[in-house]
Amino acid sequence: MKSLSPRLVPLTIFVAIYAIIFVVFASMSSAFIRPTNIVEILRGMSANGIAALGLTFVIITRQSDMGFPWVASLGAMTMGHFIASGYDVPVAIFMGVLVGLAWGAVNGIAIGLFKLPDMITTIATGSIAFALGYLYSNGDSIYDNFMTSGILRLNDARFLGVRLPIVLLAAFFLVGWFILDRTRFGRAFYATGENRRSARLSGIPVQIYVIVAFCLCSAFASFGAILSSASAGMADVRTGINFLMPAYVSVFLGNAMFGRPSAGATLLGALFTETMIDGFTVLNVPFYYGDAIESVVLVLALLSSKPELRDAFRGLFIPARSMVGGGRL
Amino acid sequence: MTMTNEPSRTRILLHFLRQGVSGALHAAMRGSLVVLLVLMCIVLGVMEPAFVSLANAVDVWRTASVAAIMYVGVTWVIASGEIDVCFMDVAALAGMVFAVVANAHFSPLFAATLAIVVGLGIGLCNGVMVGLLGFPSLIVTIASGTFAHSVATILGHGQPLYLDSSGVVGSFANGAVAGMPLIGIVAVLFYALSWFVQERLVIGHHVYVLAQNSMALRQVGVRTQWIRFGLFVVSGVMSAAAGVVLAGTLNSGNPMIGGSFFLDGLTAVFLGATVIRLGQPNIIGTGLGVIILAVLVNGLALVGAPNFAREIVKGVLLLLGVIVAVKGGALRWTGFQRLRAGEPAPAGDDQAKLRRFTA
Amino acid sequence: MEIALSARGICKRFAAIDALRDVDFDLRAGEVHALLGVNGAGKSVFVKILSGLLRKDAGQIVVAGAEIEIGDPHQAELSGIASVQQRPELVDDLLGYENIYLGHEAPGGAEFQSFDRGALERRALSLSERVGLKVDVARPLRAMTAIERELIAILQALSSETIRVLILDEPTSVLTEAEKGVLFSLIRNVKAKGVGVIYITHRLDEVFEIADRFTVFRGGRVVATDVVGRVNRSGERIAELMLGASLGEVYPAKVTRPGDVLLSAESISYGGAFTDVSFAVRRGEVLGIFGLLGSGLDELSKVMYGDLSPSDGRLLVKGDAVRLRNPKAALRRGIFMVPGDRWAEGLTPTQDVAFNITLANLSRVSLFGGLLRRRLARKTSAKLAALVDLQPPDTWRAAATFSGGNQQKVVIAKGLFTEAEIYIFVEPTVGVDIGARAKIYALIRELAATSAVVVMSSDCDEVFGLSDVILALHKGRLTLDAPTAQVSREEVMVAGLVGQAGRQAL
Repeated sequence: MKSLSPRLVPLTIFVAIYAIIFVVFASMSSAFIRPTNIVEILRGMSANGIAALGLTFVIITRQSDMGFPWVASLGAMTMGHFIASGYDVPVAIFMGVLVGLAWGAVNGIAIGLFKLPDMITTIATGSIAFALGYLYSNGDSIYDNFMTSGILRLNDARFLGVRLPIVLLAAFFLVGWFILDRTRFGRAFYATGENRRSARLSGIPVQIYVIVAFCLCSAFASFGAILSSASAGMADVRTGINFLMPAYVSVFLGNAMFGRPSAGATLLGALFTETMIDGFTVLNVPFYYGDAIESVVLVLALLSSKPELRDAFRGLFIPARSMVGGGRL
Repeated sequence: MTMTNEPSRTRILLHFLRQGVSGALHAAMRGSLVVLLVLMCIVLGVMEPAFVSLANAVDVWRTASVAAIMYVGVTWVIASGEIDVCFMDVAALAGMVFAVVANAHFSPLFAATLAIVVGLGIGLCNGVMVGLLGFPSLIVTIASGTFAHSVATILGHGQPLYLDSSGVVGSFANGAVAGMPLIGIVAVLFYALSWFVQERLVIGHHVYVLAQNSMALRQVGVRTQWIRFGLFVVSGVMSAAAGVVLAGTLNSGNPMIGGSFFLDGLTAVFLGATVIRLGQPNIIGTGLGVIILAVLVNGLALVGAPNFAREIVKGVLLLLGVIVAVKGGALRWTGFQRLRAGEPAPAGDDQAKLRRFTA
Repeated sequence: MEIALSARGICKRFAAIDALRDVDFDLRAGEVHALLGVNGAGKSVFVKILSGLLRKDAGQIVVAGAEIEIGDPHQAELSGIASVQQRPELVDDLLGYENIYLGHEAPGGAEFQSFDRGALERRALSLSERVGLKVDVARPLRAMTAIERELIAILQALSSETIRVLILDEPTSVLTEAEKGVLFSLIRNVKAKGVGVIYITHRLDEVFEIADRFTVFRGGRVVATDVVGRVNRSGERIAELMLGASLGEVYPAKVTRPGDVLLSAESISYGGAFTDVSFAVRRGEVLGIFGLLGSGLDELSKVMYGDLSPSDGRLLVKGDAVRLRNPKAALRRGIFMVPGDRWAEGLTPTQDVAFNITLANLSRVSLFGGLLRRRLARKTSAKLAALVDLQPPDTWRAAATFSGGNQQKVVIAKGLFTEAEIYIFVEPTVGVDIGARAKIYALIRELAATSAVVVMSSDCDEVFGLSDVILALHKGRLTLDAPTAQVSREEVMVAGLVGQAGRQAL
């Protein structure tokens, strides 16, 4: 299929760079290459990866969401609250994700319908969400019933021998990829992002897609925070607030490599950053070096892109044509 | 010759009524922050008399001053239509650099200067990437902010770094003159200077026009990319200065200070955009916003309000500020979209457009 | 008499198209010189070169005796050429005088000088007095009427000390008749000061009222320059000059088999753009609507497609009154528009052709409401791409990589994919080369055999050559409604230029 060859080249480059990094880490520490560590890489990227997937939808529609980390925190706290109150695990998870979904809808309506600026609005709503998370327990962590309710199995259980978080990661990305690549909705997302005017003239209800994108972002981020909480054994207001940087790096790294944001690109971007972080951990380099590396990677990705790609980056924040009207007569 | 037709009398009456109502609304909105501040002080003073003491007021003033200095650059960056999400990380980094260098037995003044130079460096990088190279300011400042934050953490190995002696800088940060905090006076003076630049110099005027129609500015020959560049440099320097002072007050460098300053900064800026220049971030507005937030935190702590109350009020204030700023005023950007066109292609020149997309 | 500006041998090429060929032009000091020509004739390109927005490839420009090179708008201004564009870049939230002196608040354009509002206001007031105007320069631009904004834009142009040439590009498109009088007074005052005025317009009545001489552009060349007084006021001569001899463009043979009325409009109006427009389009027939810039053609097309809602009147599809709230509603009713700006409105440029073709009717290639039948989509797209003769016929390539004409074919294929019954073409061949043009005309004619087609364009030849029934719009009103066979090209052009409302065919 001819459409594959343009994508094959960046993929090969990615595989090459990834292999190099992998080899470097492996040579510096034998612990890196152990199967348990590989699994740990995959498990570690599950929460961040799912959040990044949600962000991908927003980026595809050429918007930005800066508040999803805080909404994620609220989602996790909500889940914790329900667990502590004795509800079943599925109910608690559902409520946590529902909160995220609702918050995303608020964002989407404010931004898509009322035309408020996306970055600042999501920061504002996010900060309120974060504050609301304090309501449950005045800011303390919630861990009642965590051991007994079975929520921890979200992190520990295995499905067909594979750790559940990894399965969930794969499932989410599979669904995300499927929506974006194999359904008409995916095409509508891309059309809305790239040329909103043209999408509208093609009969696509662009406002709805903007709202849905924000809903997915906040809901996915909430789920990611819930996963994190299951791993930590408690719900804490600080869960999820570190999602911002890794998510953006994953999406943008993927975009830089493959020319446009997509589920697959984000997954590979997330894999890349998580591998680096894990590598540093195995080498006993403190965690905060990871952030520095990530930011440098992001900047390098930006800088090394050719001017045309740089336009693509800029284009992520500037829809190709977003003005209504403007004929040439 | 005159422009107007002769309107009917009812039209004139309605016109004045409408002017009056909207004028009153605008005045109300413009003064609303001050009213809010006064109300808050009254309520808090009633709930907890200790609030109304001089010592407390000085405390609030001191805390607010550091934040106020940090947010100067951000105010103008946002006013120009860009965004800066790294200012608090630059402050953290500057504080850590100061601590490290001062503890290494260099003079505190030298350490402070070095720390500010670091902030200048980051501001330069931001300025080059956004102003000159045209990258989106959100991503650039996310990257530089994270980088600054992690370097700050590295410098302290994950911990805050206590100052052996803060020397001159410490005295400056904690000092007082006639009962008024030294840093507070400096902040006020600095704000006065900044207000002057914003209102009385051409460049201040252009910063606002930049947000409204950068194309118009470019067409009349104004070097918009250098203005953007300069704004980010200023932001870097101011954030670093604030970080150094903060380290002096706390007697330590702390890499974790970022979190609260981020939200507070944006809240102060957007609250400030509801006064004076309706819809546009401005210096005095930010100052008022900072004071309101400081009063809020201080007062709520005194009355023993739970944490979430404080956070919720802050979040609501930010949202209100954004809504009022966007709807009630002149903010033009939606998501900081920028059209940075070069030579406009004539209708039908698809080859030029094509070049944008081919590798 | 003194020559304010003189241009010799100006040439400009864009890719493969010669936009200007060997243009000679003189502007005398103190005269108003009108530039006429159809879209694409070159007058806009010429004026953009003079105002520094484009660079000439060859030729000389002499202002007040000195040859100049114009690299950018700033340099043009320094050389004494000030221009007011069609839609001037002004800042709505600034006051009048702030706009007038934008970028020149302090001497030399310095940034770190004092910004003195009072001084600016005084300067603005004295400037407006000098040109005989009374405008309240202290109000924000957004609070001003169209004429006041226009005057502010002109004052901005006039604020330069050394101005010798003032270029006005379609200044009256948003003005009422009364407001035009104000503008013309200003122009006469400016004339009296020895400034030369270049006036671009499509409205002949204005040319006769204000201009001293005129120049007609056609096909990138100057075809005539004459004194206004010497030309017949009916506009026929000018229409002939603008159109030239028929280009010998081959339009497909018209075979009209008019069927039932698919789309009709009853007295629709939209704001100030157009009023009381009525027409009917039948299956098997091409309705052409000719209108120049500012005639309301653009807004009319948007109303017909649901992008705008008419302020008055109603639209009927197959006899049923409809309210098209958005383009999706129009699509559901079987209407498809090929927009005037295919890049901004018709395509998703970085996506491949198949993506673009299927975008407006995704349900046709979806299973269970969502799953894409990609192979079917590819096959159908390939078939349609072959039908419209897409070159090269690679539906997997990004739309942006095709030439203008082929991009247009993609949009047409997109319409075919929606299986619409009513097709509206807006400016179908702008930026399209000759070869693709013929194919597009053929497609339009083929479409007309089974559907209703509307062709809306400012290209008189095109509308005339394609349509069975022809309408003309002038300043928002229908000035012509006749079977094409009963009128001549020149009559159509005149109807668009001069707007004789009485021309109704029986």
